[in-house]
Amino acid sequence: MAVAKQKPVLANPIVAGEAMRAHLPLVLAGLGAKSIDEVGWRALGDLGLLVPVAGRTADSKEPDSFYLRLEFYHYPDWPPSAQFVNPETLGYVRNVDQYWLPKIEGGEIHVHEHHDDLKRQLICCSATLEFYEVLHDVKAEYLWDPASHTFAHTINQIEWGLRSPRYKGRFRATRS
Amino acid sequence: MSIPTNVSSDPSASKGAVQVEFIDSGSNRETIFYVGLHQTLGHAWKEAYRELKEKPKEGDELLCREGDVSLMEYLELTFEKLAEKKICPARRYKIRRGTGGA
Repeated sequence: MAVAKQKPVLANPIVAGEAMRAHLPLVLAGLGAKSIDEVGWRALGDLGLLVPVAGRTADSKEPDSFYLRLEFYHYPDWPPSAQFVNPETLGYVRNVDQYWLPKIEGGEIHVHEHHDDLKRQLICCSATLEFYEVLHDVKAEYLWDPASHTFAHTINQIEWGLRSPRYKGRFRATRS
Repeated sequence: MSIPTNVSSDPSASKGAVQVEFIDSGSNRETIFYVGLHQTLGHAWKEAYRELKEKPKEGDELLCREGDVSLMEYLELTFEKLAEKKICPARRYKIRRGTGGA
């Protein structure tokens, strides 16, 4: 189980991959799907997934598309790493890729374009690995618990943020 | 499979019970069971935790899966009343788990 204010520990990659693959059918079933192709996801190696998600503000005409890169190197004892990426490069470069980063501003989830300790973006939410990497404090009831949580928690909470009034649009309206 | 949209079209309703479906957003684990028409949504939510072998936590919120609309103001209503008012008529619910973060 995750511990607040303690650095996450790398998992045995075989164990991490087995846990991810074991949870995948359950996560997909919740979406009414049986394969990652059905939901437009893409495998990135043995321990990564690219998950398209969409944000919508009250005055959006069309949803804003984003791409969430999940990596499972610490899974299942710790949540997956979660980063929004440019779908062409599958990475995120500060001051270049803000178009691909959603502004979510809330008490349960908040996206920061850059965190000095991480040297990269932070989806500040107790269902992401980065939250623990920056030694964020959190109430015990919100800690990642592998007995209760799967990576559905990470995706669901980020999607909830993107559909809620906490979503304020893209960090930058135009592409570089 | 068609999803019943009101009590009268659900065969089990005539026997005084309706089928409900809950998904836990923390895992995507689901449970489906029957509750009496005179039971409340709040009662069924408690039963869902038991079926899922999970415990309620501070910050949990009950949503209708269609549109992710909060149902927290309807917990005291019976399934009969919910059907009359057409509130989440498919009776597919989501237990949204809270997180810390800022």
